[in-house]
Amino acid sequence: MLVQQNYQQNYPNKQKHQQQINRQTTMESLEIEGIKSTYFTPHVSLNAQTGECFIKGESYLEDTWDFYRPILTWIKEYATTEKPLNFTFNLTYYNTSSSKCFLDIVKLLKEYQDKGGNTVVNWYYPEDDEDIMEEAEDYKQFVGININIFPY
Amino acid sequence: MSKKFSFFHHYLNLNDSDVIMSYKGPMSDVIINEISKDIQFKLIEDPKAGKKVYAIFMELAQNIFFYSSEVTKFGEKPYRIGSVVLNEDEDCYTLTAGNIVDKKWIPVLWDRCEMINSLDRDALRRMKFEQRDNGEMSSENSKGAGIGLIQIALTSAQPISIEFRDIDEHNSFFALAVNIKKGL
Repeated sequence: MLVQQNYQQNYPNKQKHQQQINRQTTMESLEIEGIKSTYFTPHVSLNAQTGECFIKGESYLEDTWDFYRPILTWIKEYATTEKPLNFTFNLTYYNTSSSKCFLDIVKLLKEYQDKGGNTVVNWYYPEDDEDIMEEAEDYKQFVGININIFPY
Repeated sequence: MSKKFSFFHHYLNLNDSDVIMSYKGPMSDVIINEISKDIQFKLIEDPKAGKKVYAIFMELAQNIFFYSSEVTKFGEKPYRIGSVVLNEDEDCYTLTAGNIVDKKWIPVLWDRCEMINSLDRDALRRMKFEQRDNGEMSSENSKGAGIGLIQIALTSAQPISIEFRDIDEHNSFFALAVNIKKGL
C-alpha cells in the first residue's frame, strides 16, 4: 500500500496520462463462468473487441434480474460503439424468469439492428427439445427480428 | 375445467398408480434441486417426456417457493410449504402440486387456468409473449416472468386441472394437476 502511494505520488506526467485514460474509456469484455449448483448459472461471454457474444448452458437463478441486468447494460453500451454484434443463445434448460430476460436481450438486439447495427442472432436448441425451438420462433414472430435457428 | 380434479381423491388413489416421487414440506431451493435431480434420474429412459416433467416440476416448485401462504422458519429464514407428487400410469406422467393460498387469488387463478385451457397453441404462444413483455418482475403476484402456468400448458400440451378447498376464513388449499404423455 505504501509502495503504491509512493508510486502514485512520484508518477511522472500522472495528470496528463489520467486525461488520456479518461478520453479512451474503452469497453471491457464480460465473462461469467457457468456454475451448476443449487442454482444454474449459464456461461456468459461478451467480447467487446470482436462483438462475439454467447449465453450457454442452463439458466435458473436465485435472482434472475440481478444476474441479467449487467448483461443488458453491456449490450446497450456496446450498441453505442456501432461495431458488429454476433449473439448466440445455446441453452439446454432455462426457467420462465430467465426467458423474460432473453426477451429483453432480443429486444435490445432488435433496437440495435433497427438503428443500422450489424447484428446476427443465433439460437441453438437440443434437437429433441421443440419447446426451446419454439421460444426462438416466438421471438422471431413477435419481436420481428431475424434469428438463425439450429438444432444440434 | 375440462376434467374435474380432486387432490383428496387423487391422494387416496395414489396406491392405485405408481408414485415416482412425493414430497410435502418446506420448498427450499436445496429441496427443489434434490427433487429435480431425482426426477431426471428416474425418467432417464424416457428423455423427451422426462425433460418436460423436469421443466414443469421446476415451474410448479418455484410457484410454491414464491407464493405459498404457508410459511415455516428454520432459524431466521422463512420457507414456503407445499406438496408435489409425480406419478405415472400406462400412458402418462402426472404432476400434482398443492399449497395454501390467500382466498383473494382464487378468482385470478381460476380465470387464468380457464383462459389457458380455452386457447389453442398459437394463441397460447401469443399470450405468453404479451404477458412476459408487459410483466413487471416484482409485483405481488409475479416474482418471475408471470407466465409459469402458460409455459406449463405449452410444455405439457395438455389442459391444466385445478381445485380449491376452503381451509378457513382467509385461506384455501390450491391444487393443480397436469399430465405429460409418455414416449413422445
